[in-house]
Amino acid sequence: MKNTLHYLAVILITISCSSSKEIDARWARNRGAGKMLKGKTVVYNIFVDTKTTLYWTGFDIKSTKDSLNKSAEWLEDQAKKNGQELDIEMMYYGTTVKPTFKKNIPYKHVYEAFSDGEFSKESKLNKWVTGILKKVNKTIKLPNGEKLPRKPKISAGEAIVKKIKKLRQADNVTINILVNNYYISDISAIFNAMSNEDTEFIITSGKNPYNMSTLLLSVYGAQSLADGAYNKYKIKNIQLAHTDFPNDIMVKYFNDINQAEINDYTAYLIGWKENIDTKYVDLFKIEPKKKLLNDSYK
Amino acid sequence: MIATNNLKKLLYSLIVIITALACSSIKEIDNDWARDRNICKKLTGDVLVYTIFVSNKKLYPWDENEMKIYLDSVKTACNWIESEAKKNGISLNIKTIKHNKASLKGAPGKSNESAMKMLQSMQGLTKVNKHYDGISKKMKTSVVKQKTALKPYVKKIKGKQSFAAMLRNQHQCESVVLLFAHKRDKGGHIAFSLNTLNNSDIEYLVTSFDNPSMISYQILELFGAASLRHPNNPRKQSAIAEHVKKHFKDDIMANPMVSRIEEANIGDFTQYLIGWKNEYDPIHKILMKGKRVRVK
Repeated sequence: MKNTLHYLAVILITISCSSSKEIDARWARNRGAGKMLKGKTVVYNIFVDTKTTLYWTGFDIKSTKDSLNKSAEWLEDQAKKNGQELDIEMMYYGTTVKPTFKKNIPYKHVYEAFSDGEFSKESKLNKWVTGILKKVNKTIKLPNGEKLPRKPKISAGEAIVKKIKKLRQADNVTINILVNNYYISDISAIFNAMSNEDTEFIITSGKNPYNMSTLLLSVYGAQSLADGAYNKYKIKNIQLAHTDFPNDIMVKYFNDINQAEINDYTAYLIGWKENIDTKYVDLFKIEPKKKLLNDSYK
Repeated sequence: MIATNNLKKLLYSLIVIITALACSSIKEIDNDWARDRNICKKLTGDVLVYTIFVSNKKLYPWDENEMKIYLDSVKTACNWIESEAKKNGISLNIKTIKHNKASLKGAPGKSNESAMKMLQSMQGLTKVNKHYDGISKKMKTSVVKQKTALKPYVKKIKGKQSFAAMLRNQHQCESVVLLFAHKRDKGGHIAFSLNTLNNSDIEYLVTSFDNPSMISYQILELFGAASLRHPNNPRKQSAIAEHVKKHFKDDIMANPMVSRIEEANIGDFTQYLIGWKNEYDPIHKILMKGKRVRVK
């Protein structure tokens, strides 16, 4: 159980407000850069070297790419089982000679930004990513010297999404920032999933295909149904999810991702189903917790 | 005058002790914590056991023949672990490699005995970690480069963690066991597996034992296995000992000094901890609790 919680710890959906008001999980459905997990979906991955995390080596990059592909294959397979068309393409920043981006992270570990529920800390991490995206945006060129219109002014994240949509004829684009922690356990997090103000992105700290899949699903509106200290939200009738969807990927940790499924509730939130049984209405009612992580994570 | 001097000494010693106590504390951590963490996560797939021979400049140097015999023991240990994995339907391929140059830095604190004493304090632990960082740093120039390494390479070796990162890239494997092999000296043996219950530094093992069972025991410790021999919680010691005797009499974690390794096995509980099983029987929960470690 403890191990399960440990892995579920990596699924955090960060909202850009610090209030603890009740939220409806359906809000994230069909919003942001990742609307519905259908059609051509590009995941734009940026390997970032920082002073406090470990430097990316060729092996780390190769094995992380393997995990990303495994996660994409599993998601495509689940989509097929649910009668949906999904084509995920993994795209990478940089070149084979210089595959990483260098920028020092404001914390030693990502979890430090969440340890006391201080929004200003989370915001500092958001700014760090914005700095990366501004520079990355300049490296993505449209064909024939085409440029995005100057007005209305958009953020670097939005610009990257628009450019990649054009370049790859994609329906959805997700930005994934990866830091290397080959022997350190740290958390991964999703930013701006419950906000309309900025582009959502992921900070990934590990290379477990299970974690990568849950993070991607969360970007497209899926809700963590994990019970315990590591879920950022309190869910009213969480037991119902555990009884009705015991094999849903958002409910618990799966050592082997091929044992996990995407059940009706998650399928509804990511846009694979139009309706959901009214008995699950309580699961939509979520309330952010004030303090997220305890010292056990250190 | 003598009395005043003694009082000063006493006060000085008290201040040192209080400072040491204030800087570190004992924390109880479940054995489950070590499962699937640090550099040696699950004992599956490709694993590299990289042996670095360490000796003093003048005393106890390793000669070629001794190193060869020692490596044979490491290989026997690894072959036994592989055969246990096979019995349990686990795919495991352990590669054993020796560093081509021995380190002359000796044991931390200059003897095996003082190295073992250093482990009792937080300050000592830090010194031990730094000592092996220093050894790793010096090993960079004598590493045999592999064609399998992919760009980007590790440029600077600052210590064990960058050295291990370089080995992972060179040998294309997820788990690396850094084994620092010492010789027995006047003070006796040295044997410990460090950082298995924390994330702040890389886990590695140091040993002067050359019997395959003890080497296997220490390798398994890095992958999360808990000692079933010396339960370090006195309150539960007898209960744990009884439980181990009843359920895991032949488990390698209960018998690290068994004379014939073939007589030992890797029991269900250890299999869970090293990632060969996803669950363990709740009747063994008593073995999960009570590991006490020094933390900052």
